Amino acid sequence: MSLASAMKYHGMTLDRWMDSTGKVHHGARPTAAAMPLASHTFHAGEEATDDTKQPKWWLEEDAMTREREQMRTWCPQFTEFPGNDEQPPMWHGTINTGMTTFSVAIVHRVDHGLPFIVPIGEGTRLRKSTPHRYVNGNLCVASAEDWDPTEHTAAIAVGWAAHWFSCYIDWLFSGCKTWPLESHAQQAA
Amino acid sequence: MPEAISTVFTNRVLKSFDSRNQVLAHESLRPNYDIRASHPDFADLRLGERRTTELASVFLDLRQFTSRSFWDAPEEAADLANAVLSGFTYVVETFGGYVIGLRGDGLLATFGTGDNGEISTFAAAAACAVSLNAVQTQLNPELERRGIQTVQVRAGADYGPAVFMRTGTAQSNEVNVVGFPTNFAAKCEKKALSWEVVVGEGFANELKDKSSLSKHTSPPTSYTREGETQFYHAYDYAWRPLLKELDAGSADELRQLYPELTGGQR
Repeated sequence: MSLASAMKYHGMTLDRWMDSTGKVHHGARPTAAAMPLASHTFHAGEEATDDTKQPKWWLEEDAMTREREQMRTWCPQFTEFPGNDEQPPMWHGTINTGMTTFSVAIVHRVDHGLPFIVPIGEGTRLRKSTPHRYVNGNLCVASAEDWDPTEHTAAIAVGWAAHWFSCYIDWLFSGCKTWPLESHAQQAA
Repeated sequence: MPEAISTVFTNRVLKSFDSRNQVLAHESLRPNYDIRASHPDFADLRLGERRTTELASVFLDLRQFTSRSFWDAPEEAADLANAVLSGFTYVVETFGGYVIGLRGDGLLATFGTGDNGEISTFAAAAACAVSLNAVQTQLNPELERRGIQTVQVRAGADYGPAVFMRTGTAQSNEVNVVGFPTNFAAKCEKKALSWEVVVGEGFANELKDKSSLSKHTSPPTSYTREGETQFYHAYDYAWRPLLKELDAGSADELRQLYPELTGGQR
């Protein structure tokens, strides 16, 4: 429940921002260092498998330059695990919702699709009935169509995960009944 | 659900009702005493002067109050109406609106004075939802507990151009609001049953997502001039899902994010 959810009922959206700790804000930009969050919607079901036959994009020259810059700027609490000849890169870090902190891994795909968002550490202590998780337990923070590899980096994946955790907290406070409307397709009245 | 707003609403209504027969000394005996039914952005209009703006008009009404006032002692009916309207005024102002007019069993409020129809209609809808819910779930149970017949509420709303104009004479005048959407909002209120919110086409057009609306059962109103007829529709607005999404801080956050709602006057 939030103003953003209420406004979504009328089809309105509030700008979303993530600060450097991972906390999500709605409306006006909270600080100059806050990252704008691109539009996305949560889903569930089976997570798409990775097409591992694709070229290893992360090995191309400067492939990770922009991402590393954005992660340094907006997600300084995340640590890179660089990719190699066999595995794409991943990032581990914490997201502070303002109420509690969760740990996640942002794991890139070989096919450069929407990264896997894997809860780790305290992040694994999610309620079993939590909505918007894939069958494998990973978080569903966006649809495949929301992700644009030419524009988005791991930073936006962290932002979407931060928004997911923010909604999770709201869901808990509702008695595990209501996931904020702002985050998924609106149901018909 | 904005429990805090509903609780304050109920407490204000009951306090106002419980303090009936007590004339507040510092507010009495002033000639032409204005119960603050006005819009501060237009208070400076001189007699005959007018300004046009776009806003959401809302009529909040105590339904079946005429029959209640038939049976109850006039003072009892007046005291209860006054108490409930004071609560509505609080909710309207909490969501950035202004009470423009008070009549015996209802009030006219407006939201927004610019061209941000989405925000104006959202604020109006939120105020209607919270008001109806507060009466139904908090005030009425308390009235029942006290052995007082419960009240029923409804609302009508629309959005569009409105003209504020100071009318009257030099000795007796007030700022009046005139406009088709305001007039149609009154018609919508009459179409609404208890606990319903009916909105006009102008209001409906401001909603990007129209799944909260369903065409009202009454036929559309037709307007004919010089052989041309146009129709204007009314819609039932589903307010309960909106209520579920509001939280205690939504009203404050709305006013902070959109200061144009209150014109910077509050």
